[in-house]
Amino acid sequence: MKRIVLLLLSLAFCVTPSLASAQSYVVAIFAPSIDFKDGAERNEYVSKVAAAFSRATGLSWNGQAFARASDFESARANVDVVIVDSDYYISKLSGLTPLAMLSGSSGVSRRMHLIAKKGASDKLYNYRGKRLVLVSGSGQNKKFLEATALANEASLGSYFGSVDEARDVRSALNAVELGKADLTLAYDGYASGFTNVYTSPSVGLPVIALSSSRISGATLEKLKSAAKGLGISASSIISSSSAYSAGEAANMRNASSSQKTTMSYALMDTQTTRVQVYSTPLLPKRNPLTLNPAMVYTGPTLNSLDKKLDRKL
Amino acid sequence: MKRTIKSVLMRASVFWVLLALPVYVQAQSHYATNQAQEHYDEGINYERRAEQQDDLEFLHSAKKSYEAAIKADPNMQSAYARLGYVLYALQQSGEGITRMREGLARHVENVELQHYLGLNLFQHGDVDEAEAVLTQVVEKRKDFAEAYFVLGKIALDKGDYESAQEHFASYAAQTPNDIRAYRALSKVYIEARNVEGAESSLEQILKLDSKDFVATVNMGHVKFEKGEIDEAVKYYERAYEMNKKQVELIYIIGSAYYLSGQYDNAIKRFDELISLQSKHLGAAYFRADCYLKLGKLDEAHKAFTEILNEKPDYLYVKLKLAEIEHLRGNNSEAETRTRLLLNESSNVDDKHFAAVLLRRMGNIDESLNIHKDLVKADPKNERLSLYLARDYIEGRSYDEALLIISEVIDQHFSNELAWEMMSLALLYKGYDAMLSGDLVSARETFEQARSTEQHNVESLCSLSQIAMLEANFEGALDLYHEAVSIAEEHPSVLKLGSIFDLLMEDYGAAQRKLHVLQNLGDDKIIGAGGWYLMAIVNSHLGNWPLASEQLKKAEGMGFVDMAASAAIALQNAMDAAKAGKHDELDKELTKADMFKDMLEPIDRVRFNYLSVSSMVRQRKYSQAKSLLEDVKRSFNNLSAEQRGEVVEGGQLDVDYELAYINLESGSYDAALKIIASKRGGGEYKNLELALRRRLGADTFKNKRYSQASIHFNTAISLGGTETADAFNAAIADLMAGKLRDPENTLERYARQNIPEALLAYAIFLDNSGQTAKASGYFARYLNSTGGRKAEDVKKILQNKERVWGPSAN
Repeated sequence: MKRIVLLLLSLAFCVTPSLASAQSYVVAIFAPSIDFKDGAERNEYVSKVAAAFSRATGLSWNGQAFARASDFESARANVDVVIVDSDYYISKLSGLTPLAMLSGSSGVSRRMHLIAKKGASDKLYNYRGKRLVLVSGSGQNKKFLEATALANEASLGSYFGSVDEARDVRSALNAVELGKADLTLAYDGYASGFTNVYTSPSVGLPVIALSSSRISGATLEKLKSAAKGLGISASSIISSSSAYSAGEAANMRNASSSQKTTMSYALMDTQTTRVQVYSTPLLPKRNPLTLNPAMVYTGPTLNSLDKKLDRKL
Repeated sequence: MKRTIKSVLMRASVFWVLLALPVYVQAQSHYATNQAQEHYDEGINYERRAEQQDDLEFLHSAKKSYEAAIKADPNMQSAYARLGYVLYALQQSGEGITRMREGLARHVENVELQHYLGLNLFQHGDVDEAEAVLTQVVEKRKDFAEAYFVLGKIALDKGDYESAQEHFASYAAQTPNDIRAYRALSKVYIEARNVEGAESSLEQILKLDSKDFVATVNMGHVKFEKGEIDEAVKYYERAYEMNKKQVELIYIIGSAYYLSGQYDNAIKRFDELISLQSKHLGAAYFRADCYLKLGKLDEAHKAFTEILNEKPDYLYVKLKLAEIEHLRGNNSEAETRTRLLLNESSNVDDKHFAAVLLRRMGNIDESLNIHKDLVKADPKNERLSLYLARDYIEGRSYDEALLIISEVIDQHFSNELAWEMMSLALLYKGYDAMLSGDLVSARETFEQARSTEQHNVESLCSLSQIAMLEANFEGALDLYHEAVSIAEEHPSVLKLGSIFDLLMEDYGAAQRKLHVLQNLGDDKIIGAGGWYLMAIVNSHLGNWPLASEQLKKAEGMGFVDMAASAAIALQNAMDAAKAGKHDELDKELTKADMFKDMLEPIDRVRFNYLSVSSMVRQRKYSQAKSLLEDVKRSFNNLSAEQRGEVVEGGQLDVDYELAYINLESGSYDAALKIIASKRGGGEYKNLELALRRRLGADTFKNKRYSQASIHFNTAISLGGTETADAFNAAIADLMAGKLRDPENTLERYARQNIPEALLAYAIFLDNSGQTAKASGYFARYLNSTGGRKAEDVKKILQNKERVWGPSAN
């Protein structure tokens, strides 16, 4: 109960972005799929990142944390580096320069689970007509679930009773735990204490990308290097950062676009499609071998000579 | 230790002895004075008693009596004569010479005294004077047998065999029952290597004394020299019966069998000898070699190894073991061993044998170099020079071989083997020239070979071949008949004869001659040429399988006649095609392809036509199409008669093949065009059926479903009665949106449990939203044999179960 109260408090807390001074650079985080305990923890994480960038570039960096997409989009003009969920990055922020990806024990991507309340059924077909809650963001997660968990056999809307959105994963998990929803989708690592109904293919972790043109040259190189070498833990699944992987970042979108496994009509093989080609029988040869009298040796053989020579032995 | 049979036989010749027994000639009486006559008669009596009692003492008394007679009557010539004899018999030849000269001083013309002077001179060692005196004696009187005998001995000692033989013959004529005459004669003949004479004189000896051991053994040798091995062995056996201590005779008997190639009999004798003398190395060696000659390699290996256990350093035997490895086919092992042994040994025989082994294993240059070194170290050794020449012959360097052989002959004119080699090298050289078409050189070389008088028959046959090739048929026949007159059934004559028969198209006669040739002996006698001729004959008689087999034998002996090989391969290919043995067909076509340029035009058409079918099977459609065009063209260039020989009716229709190739290579329109022009008869109908099916599948794949439907339905109208035809037409119609009542139609096919039908019905149901029913048919499809894309179906079923639950399946 204490945990739920704290969570509710965190939902109520709104992080107000501080204004960056004219000489300062801003790194902002909007990653609703990452389970920060609360806004303070999210702020602390981005502040540590800003400090790391300051150390690396010699510039002054400030960190900003956003809980809603709209707030994040409004502030983007003043943001130099963003840390966003990979599906959001791929779907909404194309054109940015990727610097790195957050990483954990399984690298820069991680499986996701469709999870239900502890003790509930672990069979997906038992959740037909039930309530699904998903983290709001790019909306890619809906298509992702349709293509993977439902194998495109049905749409989310037709299969579940309702499909709602939560501000972030913590809210979604709380909704399931509190019985306000039956299922939600979360990274492996957040499913502890829930029933796993379906495990998805791996999905990319958040991407660190350059969002402004204020940084270039040697400073940009330093920044890139710092972005790839962050040794800062966050939530329970982030422990550092690594080089950007376009493939891993696009995992969710790629999986979402897969088609329903179907078969096409096949024709039957006919037994007599092949026919014999040699049709005209040749008559037996009547022309015999041609004698070449020069080929016949009528002299003595070496054999008799060899016998005599061998006798000398 | 190197033992050879030859050396053994030579050693055996120690039995040759000439026993010079004392001569006794009956004295004749001559009367002078009464007193002298009494002494003379007394002397005669003593001589008789000496003879009767075999006591020389009486001859001493006789001597005294004759001396007394001469004293009483110094002119008594007969007493001088008897004294001359007695002194000769008492071996008091010095005195004999003095007394005879004394007598001759009184009676210059007395031939009898000259006779005894001669005998005593011979006994005294004054051989030249004795020869001169006795020669005068036999010129004056022909009845002094002993003079002939002594003259014979003198001639024999001088190596004048001819004179010796004449004198001994004269002696024998006068003393036909004197065995010494024949012994002497046989010795002369044997020394002179006159086998016939030796045999005749030995026969006389054995007639007079059948137990004569030496003569019996020598008769064995004579028979052996004549090649009458069985007879030789009989005499050796008889001699051994006479003297069982002469165990060496068993060795001689075994050796005779060995040299005559009767290895089994030889082994028995060597075994017998080894049972008597367990350490008889010669017997052990030749017994092992007999096994080798018989091809009993394991036994030979064991026997040679046993010898090696006794004599570990016997390198020659080690080489024999290497030879066994070679004969077992382990050439690499044999070569390695041989080379190692070669380095170990400095013995000439070892090195030579190693060289021979290397040559047999195809290392001619190596053999040549070894023999070159051996000759260099011992340039006067004619044997080594001939071995070197042999290597040159093997390497077809006939001029080098001939040069060496000529040098040997220059130094050893009577070396028969050298002459034989020279003749052989010339014949080989001529044959090479003949093959290369240089008939002038060939003829010259054959003539040279003929002049050596070594291979008369072969030389004549070779010259006949040249005349034949020069179109001088009459000359060729003359030479052939000359060869026939020498040896009608000689292998060369039989081969040449069969060539003439073939040219005169008398195949039966050729076959008979070759049959005789075949009965003469093994493959080596028949030779590659013999097998080739048999193949030719059998091809004329239409017996192609036999012809093929015989040509194969010829080829196995190094014979190459590209035209014949190609023709035989083609015939085999035709047989294989007829029997539907495609692998065999391809193999023979590949063989024929190597020599295809040698094929006659008619055979070239056959070859190309068969090659087309092979190419089509190998899906080489482009090549097949091009070759088929060539077949069409070259067939039309044949005469009408030839066309009739190729195919029935002389019409070769390749349109069917062309249509087929177009079908298989995807040129469907071209195929359809040809088929349309043939108005759909017989095989073309089947071809169109195949084509329509193929087109149906092709257009279906390209999603041209209406077109596919037309092709499948046409296939049905052409007689495509299979379920597949109807099913495929139904699926095409379904996809084209033309299938009436698709659910029932597809369900009907699915009921037959045909995998494609089960799948089609499952897909139809799935697409119609009948998920649970669809899952059931997907599952049945999965369980049916022959289900394609099973992994995809499994995945579909897993997804459906996860999403819809177990009831979906």
